[in-house]
Amino acid sequence: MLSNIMSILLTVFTALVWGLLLGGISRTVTAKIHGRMGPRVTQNFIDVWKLFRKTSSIHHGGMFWLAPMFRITGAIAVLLMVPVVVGQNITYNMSFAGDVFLLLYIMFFGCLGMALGAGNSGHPYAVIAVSRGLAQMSSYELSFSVAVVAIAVGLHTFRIEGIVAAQQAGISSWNIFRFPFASAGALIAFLPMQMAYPFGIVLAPQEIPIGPPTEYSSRFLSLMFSGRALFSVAKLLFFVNLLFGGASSWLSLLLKTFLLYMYTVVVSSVFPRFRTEQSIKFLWLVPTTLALVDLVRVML
Amino acid sequence: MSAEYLFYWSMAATGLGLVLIGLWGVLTRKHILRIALAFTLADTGVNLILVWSGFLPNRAAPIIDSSVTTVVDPLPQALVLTSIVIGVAVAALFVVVGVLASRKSGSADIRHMKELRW
Amino acid sequence: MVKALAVFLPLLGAFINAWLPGKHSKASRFVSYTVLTAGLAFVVLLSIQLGAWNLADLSNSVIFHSGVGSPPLSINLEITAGGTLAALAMYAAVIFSIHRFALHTPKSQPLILAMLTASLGLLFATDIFNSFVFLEIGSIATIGLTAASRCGSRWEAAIKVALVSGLVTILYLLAVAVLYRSTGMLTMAALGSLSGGAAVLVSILLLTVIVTELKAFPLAGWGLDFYQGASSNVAGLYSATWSLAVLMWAAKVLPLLPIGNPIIYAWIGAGGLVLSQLAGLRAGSAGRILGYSTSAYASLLLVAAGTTTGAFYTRTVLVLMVFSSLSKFSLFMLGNPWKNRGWSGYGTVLMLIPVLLLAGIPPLPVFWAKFAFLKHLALHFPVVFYAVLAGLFLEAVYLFRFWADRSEKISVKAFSKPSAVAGVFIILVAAIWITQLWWGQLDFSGSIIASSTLRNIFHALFAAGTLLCLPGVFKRIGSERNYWFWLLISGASLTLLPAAGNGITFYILWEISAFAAVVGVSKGTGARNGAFWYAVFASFSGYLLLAGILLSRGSFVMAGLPALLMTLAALVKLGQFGTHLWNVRTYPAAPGTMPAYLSGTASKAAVLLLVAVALNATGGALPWGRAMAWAGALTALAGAVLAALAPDYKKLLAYASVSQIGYILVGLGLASILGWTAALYHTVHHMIFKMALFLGAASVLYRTGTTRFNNLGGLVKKMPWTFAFTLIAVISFAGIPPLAGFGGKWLLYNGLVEAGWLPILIVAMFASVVAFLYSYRLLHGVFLGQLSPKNAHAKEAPLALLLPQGILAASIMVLGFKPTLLLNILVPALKAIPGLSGLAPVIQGDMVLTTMGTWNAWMVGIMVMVVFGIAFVFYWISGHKPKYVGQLDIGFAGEMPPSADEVHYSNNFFRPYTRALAFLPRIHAEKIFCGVSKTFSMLGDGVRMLFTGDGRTYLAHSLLFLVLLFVFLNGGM
Repeated sequence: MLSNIMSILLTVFTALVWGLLLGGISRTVTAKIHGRMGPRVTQNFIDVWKLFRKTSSIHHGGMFWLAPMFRITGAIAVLLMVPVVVGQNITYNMSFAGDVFLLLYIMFFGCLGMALGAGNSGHPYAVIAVSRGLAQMSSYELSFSVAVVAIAVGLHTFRIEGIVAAQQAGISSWNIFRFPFASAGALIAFLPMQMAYPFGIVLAPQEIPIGPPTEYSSRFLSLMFSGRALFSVAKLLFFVNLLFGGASSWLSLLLKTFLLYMYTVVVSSVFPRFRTEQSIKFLWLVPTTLALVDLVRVML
Repeated sequence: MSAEYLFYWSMAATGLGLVLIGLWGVLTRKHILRIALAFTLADTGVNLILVWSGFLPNRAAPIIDSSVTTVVDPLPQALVLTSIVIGVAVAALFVVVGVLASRKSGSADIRHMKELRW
Repeated sequence: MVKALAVFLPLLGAFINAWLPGKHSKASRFVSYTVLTAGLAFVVLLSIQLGAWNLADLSNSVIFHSGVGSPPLSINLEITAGGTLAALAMYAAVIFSIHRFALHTPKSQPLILAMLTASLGLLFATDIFNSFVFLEIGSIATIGLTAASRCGSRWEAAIKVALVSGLVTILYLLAVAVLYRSTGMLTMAALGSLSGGAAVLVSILLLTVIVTELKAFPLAGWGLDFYQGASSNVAGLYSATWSLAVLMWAAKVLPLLPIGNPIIYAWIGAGGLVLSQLAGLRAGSAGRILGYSTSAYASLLLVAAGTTTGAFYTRTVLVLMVFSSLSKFSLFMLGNPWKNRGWSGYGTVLMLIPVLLLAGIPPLPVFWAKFAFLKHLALHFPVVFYAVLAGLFLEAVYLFRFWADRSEKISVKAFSKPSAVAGVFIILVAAIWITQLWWGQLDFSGSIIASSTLRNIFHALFAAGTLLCLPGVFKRIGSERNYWFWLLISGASLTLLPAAGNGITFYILWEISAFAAVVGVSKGTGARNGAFWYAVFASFSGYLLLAGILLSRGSFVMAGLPALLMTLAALVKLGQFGTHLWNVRTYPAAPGTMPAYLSGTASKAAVLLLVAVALNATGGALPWGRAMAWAGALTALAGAVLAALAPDYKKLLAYASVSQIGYILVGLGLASILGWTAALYHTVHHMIFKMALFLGAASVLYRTGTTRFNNLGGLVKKMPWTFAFTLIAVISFAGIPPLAGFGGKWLLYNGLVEAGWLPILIVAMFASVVAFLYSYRLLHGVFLGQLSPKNAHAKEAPLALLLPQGILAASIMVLGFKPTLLLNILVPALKAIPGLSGLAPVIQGDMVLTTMGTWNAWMVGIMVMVVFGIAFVFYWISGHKPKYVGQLDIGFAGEMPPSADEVHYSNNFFRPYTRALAFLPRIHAEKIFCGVSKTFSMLGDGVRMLFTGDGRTYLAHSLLFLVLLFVFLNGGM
């Protein structure tokens, strides 16, 4: 029991640090691609700490107040539902309590809280962002669901441990090779999931001039940054388990999540942005079709 | 064929002929009073046929006195009386309604009384 | 002998009245009422003497002669037990309505009394020539009354009646002549001794006369014109006396005609019924609509004469004709266009009762006759059965539209209070009387749902749903009127529904609950249109259900066609297959807590029906389960998209309801233990959350007076509890763990994978993702964003609305954390059903296992609560206490935000989505239905072109009918 709690705490802490670090790296890499100096790799830690120590003097209502908590709870819940290191049962945390379906749905917990907070802020741009984000989410979830179902049905299990266990017979047993089309679909869906370009429309309202994060400040914002970092790592972890055979050690875990993260960063840096309806259509068409190929294969 | 039978059948034929002429008139005439006339004509024909239905050749009229023993069936003749009376009443009502209706529509042409339809 | 006064007293009154000077209307009224009361007393005495109250045996009769000699010179009347009942109806109608004539056209009283005598005479006449006399008196009285009224088109109506009665006279007397010539007798019984050419001749002549006088299609033209042109008083009186008399007379003569095979009546009737009712769809004026309905009942009489015999025939015809005539009488009296003063809430209901009577809705008496009759047809004459069913449905459609269009215009004053009360009383007494007569068919002994667990779940569901709607019924706004009574009736019959032991019991409860709800809906503000749509779809589904039950030959349901029809009935009731139109129009229109009841509770009746059909027909697996699952999944998707784009709170919820019920269909279609577990779990869950949401909508409507998203927003500050409960319901139906909704989805997906129905799985999953769009739209549109100044006065919902929401939200929490509470009941019950395939989910403590997946709701719930709690406490104790600022204090690029209304984002909410969907062809279900209705309209228009309005056309129709009949009968011989 105690060791379980320790493992949970350790997972959350590691994920937070790793998530913030990855964020910092991504900022640096993007800056280099743009030919800028860019911030330090540790800039995110500094930001989070600084913001955390400041106090916000205003808020816009109950849901506004609760939204960061929803956000961070959702992120941690997803994180804990995924096994961390294959073979180390203690790091499986809460993953016994649910399967991929549960994971697919609990991912929305944080998003919904965030959207509610944005709505309660009374700021129209925040709500525009939410409406775009939801519209886009409903389209990438389609391809992602198809991919996950194809893989899960192909492996005859919905349990994430089961999916990981089925990939332990060498690299060729990784799902990315066993289900290449579904994996391709899932990896394309991963970009909008991480709000990466060319699907970064959700973040656009904050450029119009401002957006949800600006309405949030100080400690609220710090929690939201942390939540985002945690959620990002949770999704990376899920993908590593789903497609890349899971991680047999902490080192391979860091490596795999790093590479996967870099994939979004690189793609994100070189692509311009879709309009929302363009991205919706693209996501309905391309990754879904890809994933369907494997689904049909599985059905036959 | 004896004269009695000739009379017997010509009565039926006349009645039927009147009915057919009346129906033809009802269907083809446009003036409301002509239609009324056509109806009266057909009515007369029907009454003839009704009398015919009780007619038995070679018998006397049903005016009972000691000398007459074989009479025609008196019943249809009684019925025809009823029918004639009713026919008069209906014809009168028809003419009244027809006149008033033509006053309302400004014409006695039945084709102009088509406000109510479909 | 003195009993003949029952027939002739009115004639006496007529003579006296005719001699009284016109100015003394008081004296003539006195005479009228005296003779009517005395005559009525005689009829009552006669009916008691003949034992007419025992409907099972109507064969008692007394015969007497009057006048000189023997018939046909004297008048020969046979007063039957059934006839006295019809006579009672006639007397009642005249007594209730004569004062209206006495006021406006005092001179028409003799005509009314003459018409009554003619009607009574025709009712009891047993002699062909006597009948002729009464027919003529009736025609003269009709023409006179029509002409004496004050209606603009009275002359034209009168002339058409006169034309047709002229032709009828000729044809009838020809028949009399032929009959007398061949048999020497003129009694009705003599018809039977005809043979050869005379038999054919008399048959075709009399049949033409009867069909013309009955106003049955295709010889209905003159009757329609008459009903349209005559004043509503005259038309009403006519339909309750003369029209009824002709119907009863025809019922007497038709079986006696020596026509060979009487099935020809049934063909004329069934064909005419369908065609005339098609034309009826297009009828415009009130009189004409009711004329078409009269024509429908005439056709029904022909069908009955062709297919039934003996006591069954007498009884069926009596009940159908008496009550339909009385209903038409009340409708004419209520729809009086002269008196469109004021309007009262009672008018809607007052007018609905006769409409329901005509449409044959249980437990009203016409239903019983129709049911017995249709059962007979289903067993022996299937083709006629379908035709009659189709015709009756078409009739129901235009009658309901008539009600929806007119009920606002009627005046209760027009139907003066004592007579209204008396009319309703008569109908109700009759209903109870006939109901008890056939009560033996109601059966609650063994339920059609064999599993007591399932039965109890549905009992509890219906009872709880109704009870939770009740506290809020008095929280009405604007012109919404009291609907609690109807809600209660509907809910009570629903609660009984699972206990129904046979098809008829099920059908009766089903229809009562549906039509009580129709009345309830009609109490809303401007809700008659919504109520109309509900009525039409409810009666469509009702007829499908009835057809299924009747074709099952005594058992509840048989596999094959009956099961399919009943499945379709359930689907229509659920709003699938594009029939969601009624949900979307009815729910928003319904008052107060009514939509919560309809969507949350009443829709589950259809789920119950599906379960019952599957269990009784095949033991679980319906052959069209897969098609049903596809329909459910696609409806779930389409409903979700439409909900996301809806501009109105209640409309959004209506679409959401359509969408969510799709999942139930998918689960039931699976026909596996997992699928049914999912379906029933979701049924319970849908009831809980949809009621919470609609009660939330009712609260918002009650406090703000609107449900348009444009006028709402920011209410979280004003109605925090309503928001909290709505939020819980929304999180739950979006399927986000740890609340209850996830369980249904998880079970369903497992079931779909187990069955290998992956394409349906994908569609269902996609639909559930689209559900996020509308769930956020709902929360933001109403509760978040900027509070409009218009709603600044809004307060928290009253306790009567809040408390049920709280209970429902608490159940969502409980079910979310401990779904095994429900699953432990459901799974063993479903395992015991042998017809269900697949493996049952294994429940170990809080853990639910399928062959492929795991789910531990308790652990997930605990995890989420703990993490949330830690974050919350951490936040709370860290001394972080920001102040709440005004709603317009937002970072707005240094500008002062304009008014709250302008900052609130509400129009075109999911703009990108609409744009992305723009490639889809815009097929609206509405357009499909418009297409269907246009096709029907065109057909109807084609049919009604027959009735040109030229009186001679109608004569030509009759003659053509005669010729065709002649050709047909000779060809057939």
